[in-house]
Amino acid sequence: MSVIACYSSKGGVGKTSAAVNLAYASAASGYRTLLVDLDQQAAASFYCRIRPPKRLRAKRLLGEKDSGPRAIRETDYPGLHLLPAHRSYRNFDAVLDGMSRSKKRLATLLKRLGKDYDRVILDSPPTLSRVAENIFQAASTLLVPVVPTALSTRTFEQLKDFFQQSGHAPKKLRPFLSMVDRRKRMHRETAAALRESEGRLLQTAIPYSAAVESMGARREPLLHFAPKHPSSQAFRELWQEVETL
Amino acid sequence: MTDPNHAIHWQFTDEPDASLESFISPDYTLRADEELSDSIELYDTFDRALTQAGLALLRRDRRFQIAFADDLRSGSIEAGEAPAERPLFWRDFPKGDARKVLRRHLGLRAATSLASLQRRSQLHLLRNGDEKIVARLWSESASVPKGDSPLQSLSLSPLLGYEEDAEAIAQGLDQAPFLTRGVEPLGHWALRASGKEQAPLSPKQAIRLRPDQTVQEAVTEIASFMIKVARQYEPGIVEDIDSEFLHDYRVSIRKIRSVLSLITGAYPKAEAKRLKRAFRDLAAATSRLRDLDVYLVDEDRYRSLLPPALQDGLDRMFADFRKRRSRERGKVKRHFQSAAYREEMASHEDWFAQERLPKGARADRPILQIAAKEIRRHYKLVRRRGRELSRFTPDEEVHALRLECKKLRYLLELFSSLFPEGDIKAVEKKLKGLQNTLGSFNDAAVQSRFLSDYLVQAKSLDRPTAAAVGGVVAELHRAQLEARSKVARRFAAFDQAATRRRFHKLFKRPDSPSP
Repeated sequence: MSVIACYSSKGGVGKTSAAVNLAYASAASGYRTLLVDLDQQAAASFYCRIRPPKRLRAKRLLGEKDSGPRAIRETDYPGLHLLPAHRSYRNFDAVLDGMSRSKKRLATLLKRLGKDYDRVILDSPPTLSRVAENIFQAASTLLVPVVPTALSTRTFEQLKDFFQQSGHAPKKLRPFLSMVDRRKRMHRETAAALRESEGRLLQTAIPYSAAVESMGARREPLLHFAPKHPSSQAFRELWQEVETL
Repeated sequence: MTDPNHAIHWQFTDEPDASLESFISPDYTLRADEELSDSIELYDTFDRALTQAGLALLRRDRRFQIAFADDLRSGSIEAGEAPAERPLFWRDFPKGDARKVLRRHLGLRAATSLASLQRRSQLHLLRNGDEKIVARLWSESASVPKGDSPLQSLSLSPLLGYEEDAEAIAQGLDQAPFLTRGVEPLGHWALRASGKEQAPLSPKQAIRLRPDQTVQEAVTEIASFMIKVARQYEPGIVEDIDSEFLHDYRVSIRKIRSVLSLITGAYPKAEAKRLKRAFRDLAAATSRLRDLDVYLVDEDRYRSLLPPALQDGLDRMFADFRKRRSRERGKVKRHFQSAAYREEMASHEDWFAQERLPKGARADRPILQIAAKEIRRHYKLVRRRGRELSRFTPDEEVHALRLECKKLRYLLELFSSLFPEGDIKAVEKKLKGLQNTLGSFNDAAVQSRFLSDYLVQAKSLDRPTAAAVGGVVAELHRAQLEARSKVARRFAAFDQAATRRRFHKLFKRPDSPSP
């Protein structure tokens, strides 16, 4: 059972659409897959049309044995289950601060939940915080979507530094180009520069597309309603690349 | 395999006069999805081993699956491909979890197709206000060839986490007058509709006797039952489905012979003698085939007794056994198909079914008394022979002890219904420990002799075969000595005070009222 996190300290970079589509691809390959939505905005849950159970709370999720398993829902897609997010997840940091072993709580939870699954994929909140540290601890791979702009590159450098300083293995970080618009010169140039400088950059790049944007309106993974779309193809290739890491 | 899900089932007990949708709360929408049609064969052994274990072996085209018997749609495991037109042993399936499950339940038996069914299913999807699928609703019509009306059912399966929604939907559907909750599991229904739901009688079944029955009544009941049991196996023996048909047939015949020998006086001596001889001959007609089956079934075990370098030397012997077995099988088949056999068995059935059977000296005595008396007698004999045993006791006397134990064991089995169950089981268990060792001793001796005979008889014996068979005989001799050395200890374990007390309590002289 491996845990893969889609993580970025910034929002709006294609993190959730990647998490959802990669989870879909994983399930479609035959793996029992659990997608865990840790972002209090609950976008991944929204795409899957799943609401959290009334009693789900950040504190209960981390503290009570049954809370996690009871909250898991089967999506409409064979082999894919989702642990939905709740708005109380905005209190994750505060909750974790009040607990012992505050860096490992998530890892422990996922290990237990993950027993029934072959793959666990996390959709992380866009923060650099105690929750993030838990995610860094729990995941074996961190997929970091990077939009090819100067600012995003800088953000990624900051993430790498943070990693090094806090003693996490930098090799866990696997950036990939996201929302790439080949019409923009800045994107083309930054992408090329990143490919040169960043040895850990994944080969597959996810292009910007209106289709991916329309996931919000359709509330379905792109791979489900437009399997032949070039972006779907890109997500599938990304998944293949991640599998062979 | 996952546990069966929380599916809820209904049967259509009437023609639907309204749409299903009209019984579903407006919080949910119902939409038809895919339609499926399949043809399923249900396999099991003659003694329904899989059904008894709550499992079902299904075939669709050439692919097999193992599912839970009470919900064929529930989690199943793939068993792979196996030939479609013949009885199947666990070895016929590809390696994997399914094969392991089959090995455990099928053992030496083969599974054959017991029923076939055609199923048409319509899937509907139930969605909530967010247009999220919360449950799957299958509407199914199943029929068996030459059967009566098809089984029409509805089955609602919640998606994980939506069990409450499914319950709410179910309560709505409960309001439909043409639906009744609960439906016979499909596999079970198909077997029943095909006339195959009854598991066969087993010679191991305890016949329920009554303490007030007479000796003649009890012996007649046992003999009639065992003839019926034996005859069930005839078609399977003729078709050579698996080795256990013949084994169970012989066990049944043996029980008839035992009851006639151990409980004398039910019928006049001449009749009893006639019957014993007849059943002895019936058993003898199948002995050689059974012997060969036993050796062939154990082929791997015999090979494993030898060092790897010698094992191939057994190839010729087993090839010879297979040839012999083939010939014997032909003889046995003709025997069972002969008019003489059929007439003979019919005459035995008729004889035991007579209104007024000729009476023997003890015919009218209460069975409880006589059974207890015989058990006491044979128990005393077991104890006497056992106590006389020492390391120096000749083998013949050990065999005599074995035979006494066998008689005692048969008596306990045949008449267990007359005594308190717990006590009977306890003494049977103790006796079994002793019998197992004596049995090993005897088996090794018999096998050793059989294989030595083969060595003497085999034409143009080659060196590898001689070496291998010689090796096996030597190993069997060792096993025999080992078993022999354990006999005294096992007898001591049997002869404990607690067991003696139980025997005394169960089978004491009947001056006191019945148990």
